[in-house]
Amino acid sequence: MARFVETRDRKVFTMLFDKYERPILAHVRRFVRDPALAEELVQEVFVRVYTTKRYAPDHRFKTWLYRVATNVCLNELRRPHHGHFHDSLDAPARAPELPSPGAAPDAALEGDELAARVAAALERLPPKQRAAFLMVRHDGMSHEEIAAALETSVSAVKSLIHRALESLRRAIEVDRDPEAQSPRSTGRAVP
Amino acid sequence: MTRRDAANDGGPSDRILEAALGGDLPPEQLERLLADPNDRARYEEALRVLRAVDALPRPEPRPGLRRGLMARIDQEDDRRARGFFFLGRTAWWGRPFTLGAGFAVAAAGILLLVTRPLEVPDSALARIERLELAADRELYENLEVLEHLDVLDDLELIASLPEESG
Repeated sequence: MARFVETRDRKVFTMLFDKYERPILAHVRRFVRDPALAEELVQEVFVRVYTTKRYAPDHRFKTWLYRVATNVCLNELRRPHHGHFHDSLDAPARAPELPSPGAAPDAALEGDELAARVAAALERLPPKQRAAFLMVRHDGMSHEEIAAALETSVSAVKSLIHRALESLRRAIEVDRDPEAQSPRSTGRAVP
Repeated sequence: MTRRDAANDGGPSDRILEAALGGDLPPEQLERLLADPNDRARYEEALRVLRAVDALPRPEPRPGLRRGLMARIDQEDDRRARGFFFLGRTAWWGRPFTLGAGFAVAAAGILLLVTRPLEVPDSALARIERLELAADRELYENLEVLEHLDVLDDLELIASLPEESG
């Protein structure tokens, strides 16, 4: 990256884009659900990379890139038109539709259903929790790297990951046993 | 306190989740931690959730993403090229041309200061020269006046003038 900042070589930039296009898109989608908006933000991230004059290699390039992406996403979420979508970056997002909790006749279907439930539960997590959790699970990043990318402390990252897993586990548990949670919190109608 | 409330209190429930997340507990410690069947079920459920998360599909970029980015990069290059030829990509202090021009201007300024003619204090000799010149000029003007006089009348008039008015 330092070489790119010096030379502005388009080939070096293209190599960086090829390597990080997918992880950064995945990271942005952790904050923004709309695929078109997410791709727009990914472009914004890489335009910032292309035009940066201030790259200081105090962290790995990957960490720096994730931090740029996180800031772009947080700026987007703070814009007024996102107010109805996420009340707070630490508050749970609006719950998407869950698959119906019908009986699963075989193991494969049960696996698919579990995946769908986990995906839905992930969507309900606050963006920062979801981001920290998936950065460690999908991107294989260390707690230190995540802390640098999210501009928070390592202990805060551990807490975010821990709470995310607990929320997912509870969500699965509640889906299996709907009586375990009150009607208000499940949002389901009481007969 | 319910089991759920205990999830973030650093107690056994916490350690179960940490064990599921980190997986770096020695087997004998893990077995001790999971002695309770409820705890074991919780641990195994956490592992299932993690496996399901790990298996989730990642979003795939559409072909338009790359095209759109490159178009924006081209725009960015055009925008820069439209600027002054030396106001390019790097900060002004990093551009050799700007540095060179700055040094040249500074050197010219210093040279001008050093070679500027100095004001020499008025010497006595110069003052005498100026006074002599002034006296010569006065004499010349008086001669001119005398040449243009109507000789007789004016000489009489001059002679009649009182001495102090002269």
